[in-house]
Amino acid sequence: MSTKNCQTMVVDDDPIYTMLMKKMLESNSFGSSLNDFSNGQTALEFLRENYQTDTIFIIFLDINMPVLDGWEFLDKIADFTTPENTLVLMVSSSIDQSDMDRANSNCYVIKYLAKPVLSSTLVELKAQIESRVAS
Amino acid sequence: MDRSTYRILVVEDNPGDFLLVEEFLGEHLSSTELTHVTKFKAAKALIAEGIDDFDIVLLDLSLPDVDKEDLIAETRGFIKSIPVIILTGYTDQDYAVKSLAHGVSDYLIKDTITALVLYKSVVYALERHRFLTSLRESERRYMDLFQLSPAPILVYDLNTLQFLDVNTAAVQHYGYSKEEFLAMTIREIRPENDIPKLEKAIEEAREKTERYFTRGFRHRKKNGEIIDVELTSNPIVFDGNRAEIVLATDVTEKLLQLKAIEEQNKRLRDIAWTQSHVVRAPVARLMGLVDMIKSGQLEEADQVKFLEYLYESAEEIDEIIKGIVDASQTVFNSEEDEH
Repeated sequence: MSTKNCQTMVVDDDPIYTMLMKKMLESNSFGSSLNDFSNGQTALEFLRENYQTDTIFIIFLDINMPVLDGWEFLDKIADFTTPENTLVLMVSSSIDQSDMDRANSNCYVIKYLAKPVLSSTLVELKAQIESRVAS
Repeated sequence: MDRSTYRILVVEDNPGDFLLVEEFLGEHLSSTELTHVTKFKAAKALIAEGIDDFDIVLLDLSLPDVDKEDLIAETRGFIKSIPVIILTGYTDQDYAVKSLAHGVSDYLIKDTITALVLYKSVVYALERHRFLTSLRESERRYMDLFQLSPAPILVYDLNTLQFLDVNTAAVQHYGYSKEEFLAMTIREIRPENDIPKLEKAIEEAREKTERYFTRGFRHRKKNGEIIDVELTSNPIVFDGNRAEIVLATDVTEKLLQLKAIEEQNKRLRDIAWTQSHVVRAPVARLMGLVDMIKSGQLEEADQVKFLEYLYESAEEIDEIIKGIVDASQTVFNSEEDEH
């Protein structure tokens, strides 16, 4: 992850949860830059402005958010990004099987994470993403 | 020799003619039970006593107690139950021919009767009577199936859309008498707004050659009540006209129940969604906060803040659980209302 430019985005409307995620991501040194957004719309605007094919975007995406939810966000980014460098972690407090199935059938989503995302999960995830990027 | 037993009523005032008939009958029939009367009124009384006691009536056309012009009309009470053969002279042949139209089985000119002619006439009349009776019975069975069907059945003309027949259930269910039905077209039992839909359906109905099923239609009863119906229709020929026979099932209740169930399901789905999304959000946050505290990475200054976060989340859970209890109560209450 150090070889390439890598940007991490946390998209969630829960400020406490966002704060927790950021603390965990920082201590696990995830990505070269870290930004957080309180809904899908602001995240979408950021991605549209900053999207580059030689940058890897790791997006922790909540499902239920005001303005633009996680599913709508996924629909919109299909216009200007590719799943090769846009890796989405679907994060939700929902343990509903239909949400999991829907997430897993989307080409951007590399994993469905039910909250809470723990530090140990991020360690595993980091290894998984590094091997994926290397290959 | 025919060995069946025939119970024959002979109505003949001329003793000579009776003897002849008796003799002729005996030639081909080994077993007959002859009853002889000389007056029509006596015959009628005997028949009235036991209509099943006779297989056939041999009836002289000129009897002393009834005018022969009225005789046929007088037989109307029993002619469908017992076959009647008229015995007559040449002079009354025209009248005898006419009597056939009123249900008389056969007529025999007395001067031409032979044993064989009489035997054949009797046997033919009996066979034909048996056949007609079974035909009438099957007709009645079919009419009963139509009339006694618990579901309303409507028959209408595919060209004029006029009602041609309706059964008892239709009369009871829609509130129109049979006469009122027959004076209407099928347009008149539809709500005004459904007429364009009906026109389209009739266009399609005229193309059909076999039974088909339609739903989503509404009918209007005489009292103005609108009912939802499912229709099973079949094209038929009715009195030579292209018609359609329609079995109408009132599904108003069924649809209402279905709607109530769907509404309740939606409320339950909402509750399930709430469980999964809303309830779990603060719980997951609590777990995340605890995980962070346990990790020991927390700075001194953050610890008080984290306790506040924990309390906030617990309060949020409390609020949500109250909301779920209220929503469940709504489902159960509406369930009780329906019962």
